[in-house]
Amino acid sequence: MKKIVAVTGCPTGIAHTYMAQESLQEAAKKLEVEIKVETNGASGVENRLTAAEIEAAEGVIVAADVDVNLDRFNGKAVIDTSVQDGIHRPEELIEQILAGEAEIRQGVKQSQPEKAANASIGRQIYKHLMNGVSKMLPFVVGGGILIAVSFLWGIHSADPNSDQYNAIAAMLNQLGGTAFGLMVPILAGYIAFSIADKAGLAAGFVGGVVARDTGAGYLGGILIGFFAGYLMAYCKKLMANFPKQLEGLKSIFLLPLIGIFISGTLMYLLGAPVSAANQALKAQLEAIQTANPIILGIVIGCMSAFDMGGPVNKAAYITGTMLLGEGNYEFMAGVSAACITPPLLTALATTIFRKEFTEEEKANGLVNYILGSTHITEGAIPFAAQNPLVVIPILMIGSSISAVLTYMLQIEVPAPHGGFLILPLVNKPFLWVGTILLGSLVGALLYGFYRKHSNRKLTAK
Amino acid sequence: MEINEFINEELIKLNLKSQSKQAVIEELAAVAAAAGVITDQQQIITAALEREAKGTTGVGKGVAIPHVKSSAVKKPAVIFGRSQSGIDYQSMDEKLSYLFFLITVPENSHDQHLKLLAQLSRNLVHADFREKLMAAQNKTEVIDVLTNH
Repeated sequence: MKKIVAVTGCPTGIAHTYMAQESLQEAAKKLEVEIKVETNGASGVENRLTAAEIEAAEGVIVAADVDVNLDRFNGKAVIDTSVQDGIHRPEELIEQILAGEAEIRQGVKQSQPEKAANASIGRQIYKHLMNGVSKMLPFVVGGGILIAVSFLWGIHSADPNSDQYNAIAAMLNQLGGTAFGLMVPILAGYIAFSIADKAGLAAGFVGGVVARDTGAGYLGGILIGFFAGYLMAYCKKLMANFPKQLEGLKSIFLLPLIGIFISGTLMYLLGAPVSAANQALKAQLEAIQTANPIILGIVIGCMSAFDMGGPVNKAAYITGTMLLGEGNYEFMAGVSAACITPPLLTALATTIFRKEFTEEEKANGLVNYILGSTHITEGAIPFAAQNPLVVIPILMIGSSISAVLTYMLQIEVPAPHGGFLILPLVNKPFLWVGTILLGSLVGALLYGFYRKHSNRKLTAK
Repeated sequence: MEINEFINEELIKLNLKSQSKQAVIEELAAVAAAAGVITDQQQIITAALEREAKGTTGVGKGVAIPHVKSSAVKKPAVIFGRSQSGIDYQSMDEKLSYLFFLITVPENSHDQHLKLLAQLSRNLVHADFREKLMAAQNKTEVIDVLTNH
């Protein structure tokens, strides 16, 4: 017997919801179709559809005058109509589904709310994070490679005041920079989108742009993405009982306004403490620049790998460039080593532990050889962002090893950027590459074994 | 709990006089007020009309179920009215309505009340249920149909 699922709902939730339910069930009986009808009435949702039932159904009839969650039907044939149609034309609706006349609902097929509710909080957060990371990845890869290519004309080729200046290189560099600039907003936007659907996107995206502009980096982006997503999910819940006539006002006007205002403002207000932290770190760093190389290396390594492009990383990088101006070439050597390590580390991990990574990650890893070699730390962000609590510490360990060794060997790097392209300017080029590879390799092994372990755990379940 | 906890002979009017939507709501509200299940007749009428403005409760098949969730409701009740000549209730199917159920529930209604009312709504979909209500000779028979269907 063919199966169909349906959802009914009406503003007061006392009568129409149940009449439509009964009508659909009667019609289904007549047409010899099995049907399950979820009712969204005054006493809440009854007969809630399960993921398996939706999956097994030929199609979905939504006969409701209130907002019901439709995303769970993505990829199914869906008729979205009024509760009146459910009461009066149940047979037609069912026949339309059986005849395959209903439109397939677009959108990403997502795991079902009922499933999500069962899933642990950790699992849900991971799902939202991955949604953001996978959307961000193309920006990192495309933008990163364009920037790396621009270095082929020389590491200052985008600077009009340099004699290396080349118009094409400058354009490539700018394009790459534009793509990088979208990284954090896309990450934040799609984390929020994953949590709260369309309502989340605007709030998360704008919050992400503010996070980028205030220098809060990708960790700021992740925070604001989750904040915006849960905020919007909450607002949607508060407004769930709005009559359908106000639906437009709600989704086109109220939700975006509230979301953009609150998450934008929050991120904006966070700007001051973020920049204060950045300043404080810089002051601290200058104070310890002459410290013992092991301590300095660990501090620099941890800072550089911590938030790649965020306030902590920038504090190390900017202090490094400042000290370069004062003729201290050693400090920058450690910073560069620590910044090159994270992408190289992930590249090595995906090469050595091929079986433990997805195709997407392996492609990202391959690109990271180029991004790492050219000091584009951002290449590691997609790896770090999908599991920050584990991956960031691993990156920190790798970067610290690279930086400590660099300082111990008194390597001098006189340029602030360019990665291995500036090797001719480095006093001990082979040793420098060696320290970086060693730090990356240790980290890669840690990362790979962690993946192996967590993958086993997943399949064992 | 049974449906007859919501309805009794005092809440039934078998010969509605009204000819319009507003009039029939007023007529049913007056029945409810007389039986003492609501405190403020005007408030109930207003609330019912507001609900109608969001979309008619004339669900077709000759049935209308105006309903109100309001603090002016003392106890959940179903007020049943019947018109032999039919009333233009601006029904979904644009036909006349004969059977009227004014459903009143207090603001903080029990889930069980709602479930019973849901069951009544489901019954209304069935033609034989409606036919029996149309054919009922007196109030006792109406209650009998409602309780025993």
